[in-house]
Amino acid sequence: MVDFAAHTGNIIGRLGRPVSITPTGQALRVVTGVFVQSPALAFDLVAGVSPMLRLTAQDAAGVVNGDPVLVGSTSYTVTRAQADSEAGDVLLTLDAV
Amino acid sequence: MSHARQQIREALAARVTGLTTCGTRVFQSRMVPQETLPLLLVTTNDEEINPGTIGDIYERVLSVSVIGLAKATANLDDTLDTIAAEVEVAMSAEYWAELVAINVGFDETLEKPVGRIELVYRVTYRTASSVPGTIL
Repeated sequence: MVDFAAHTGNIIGRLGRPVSITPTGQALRVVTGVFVQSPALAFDLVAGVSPMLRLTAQDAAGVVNGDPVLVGSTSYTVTRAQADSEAGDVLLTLDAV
Repeated sequence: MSHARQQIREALAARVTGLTTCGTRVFQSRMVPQETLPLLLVTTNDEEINPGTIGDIYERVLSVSVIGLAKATANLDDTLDTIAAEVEVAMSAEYWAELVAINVGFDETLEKPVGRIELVYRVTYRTASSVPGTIL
């Protein structure tokens, strides 16, 4: 049987970059995540980007909405955390601070 | 000669240019970059056209929207309401544009959520059927 979580972890490890997360009640820690900023539209009128960060489920443990994330020198706040238990990862939707 | 719709849109855009919150950030296009917020969009939308009772005159009822867009902050609602107040005062000088609705929305798609307040105006005018660029 395929270990999807291990496979996902390998992909994130190969493609990711160091990011800092501070889950509520925990200390800041540096993990590896795949950060993307996809082009997006608000109201079909306003052009911008939609930042998202993909972490392994292990690295994302304890992350909830409102937690701070630092990518490079840019600070974000988690607005949504979508876990995929089969793939073993968590997709965080971020807002710029 | 530009269509009367365009003339109306440009006149209303000029009317709402220079207001306190959005300043000169007034656009007539339908897509803008988030970096330019807060701003106003002026758009001409659907139009109802009825044959007039005199010759080839069209009676036209045009829907025009003045849309305020702002990035989300702690006081986003205040910002949107302020934009609406400024627009209403400015537009009151245009007696031929009648405010008929205000619609409000919020979109979290982008890295900074965006709030929207749309003031919908109804503009009634007439043209000859063969001369849509001249308002009678």
